[in-house]
Amino acid sequence: MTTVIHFATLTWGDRMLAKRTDIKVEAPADRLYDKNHMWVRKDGDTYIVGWTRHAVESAGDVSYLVLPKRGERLEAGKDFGSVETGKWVGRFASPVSGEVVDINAGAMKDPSTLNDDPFGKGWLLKVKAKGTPKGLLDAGSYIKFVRSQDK
Amino acid sequence: MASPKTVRISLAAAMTLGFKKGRFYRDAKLGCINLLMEYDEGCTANCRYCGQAREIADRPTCKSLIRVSWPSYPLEKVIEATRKAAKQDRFVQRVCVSALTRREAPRDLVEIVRRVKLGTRLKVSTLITPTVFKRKDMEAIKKAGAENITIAVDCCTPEIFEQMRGKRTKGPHSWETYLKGIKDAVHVMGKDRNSVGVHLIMGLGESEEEAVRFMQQCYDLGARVHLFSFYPEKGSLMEGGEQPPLDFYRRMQLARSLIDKDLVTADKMRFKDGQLVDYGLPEKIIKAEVRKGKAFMTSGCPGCNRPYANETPSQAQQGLLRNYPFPPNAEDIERIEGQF
Repeated sequence: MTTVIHFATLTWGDRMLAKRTDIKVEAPADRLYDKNHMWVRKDGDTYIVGWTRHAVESAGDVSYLVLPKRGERLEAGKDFGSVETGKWVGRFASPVSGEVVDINAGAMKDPSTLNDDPFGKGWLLKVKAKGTPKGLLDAGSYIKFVRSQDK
Repeated sequence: MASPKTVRISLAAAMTLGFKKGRFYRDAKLGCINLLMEYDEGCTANCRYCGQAREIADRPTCKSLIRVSWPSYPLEKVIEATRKAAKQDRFVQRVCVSALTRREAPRDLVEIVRRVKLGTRLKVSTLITPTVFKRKDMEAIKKAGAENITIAVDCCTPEIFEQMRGKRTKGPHSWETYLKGIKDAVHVMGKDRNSVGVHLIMGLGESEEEAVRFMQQCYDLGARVHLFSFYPEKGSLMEGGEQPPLDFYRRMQLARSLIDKDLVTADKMRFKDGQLVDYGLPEKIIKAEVRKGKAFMTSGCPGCNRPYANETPSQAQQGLLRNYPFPPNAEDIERIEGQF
């Protein structure tokens, strides 16, 4: 069963920005976040999943992506793929449980899309979720989390 | 834009100096800030494995070398940032200036060394080509304050050199000039083995015996070998090539280390069909040297560690790290033992 997350009080394109020393945390208010720096946005009966700008910029210029195939099942909090920059490699953890219904072929072909537009063209997956995603943060809470991590 | 006014710096250096954002896998740190000279006309050499080769480089717009981008910055900005970075973190302890093959390179490299030395007070290494750097240029480099001269011979035999860098690839380099360059550098810098280095790339077609015997030759000449593992550079004439097998590279790292530490010489080692089968030392010593792990760390001038220059971070994550930029931990050592 697919569950809808309500964003009634949030406006599309509204961006919450917080500045602490040289760290600028950008978190559009039209989506939710987790502590692995993934974002998830409801889109019809699926969820779009991506990696936040804070995470992308910390990692460096993305050079390579490994993403699951359509039809694969994801479990919230579990690894689903990896990302490589010039000098670093790490894994993505899924913010939702469900089935992969689409992957971003454009980002696979040109991974720098993640650096250029992490909240837009740099999305990673579309997932048909199983149940309601739990334990996610709204934009304000995510920004507070990032800032607390940086202290 | 051209040197000495501007230089390119490695991605790792750009990250360390704060010019580029990014992280190092396993929180590696960079010990040596690598600079590369640049000219609008590019490099006149045509080495088959190099991203700067004349026939494939897009001249000033070619930014790739050793797997990553090399952005260009004003030299003075790099010197200032290096000075600050070294003050903040003593791990940053050296600057290395690499030359391109151009007639004007010796004059400009000496100027870069002089300014870097004056502006940072760090140790300075130079990576030069004897095709254009003669003994008088090496003397000028030393006078400008450089502690090290390294010659990138890269190939272990005259035949491979000719094929990769010489006439057979329409390049200007010759084996004889490079061997004379090593001798000249040792003459100028002295026989202290930290002063003169020779870069060798493993995996260009040499046998283990050829590699080890040439390493020994370099040590006999008074130079120290800095080992690299071939990585098929995107856009180079060898982009379709393969990295050498890991067991081959591990044996070469260990052999280099044993020679480097004066524990053995190549003539005591045994080879079968070109493959190293006996290091000429008791097994107990060999095992102890492997367990120390240092043989598998980046070899270079003191402080140089080149994180993830010979492999992708993903390969490093899979345990396929060629040159460890930090001391291998117990898990790494266990993995290395299994790779022989």
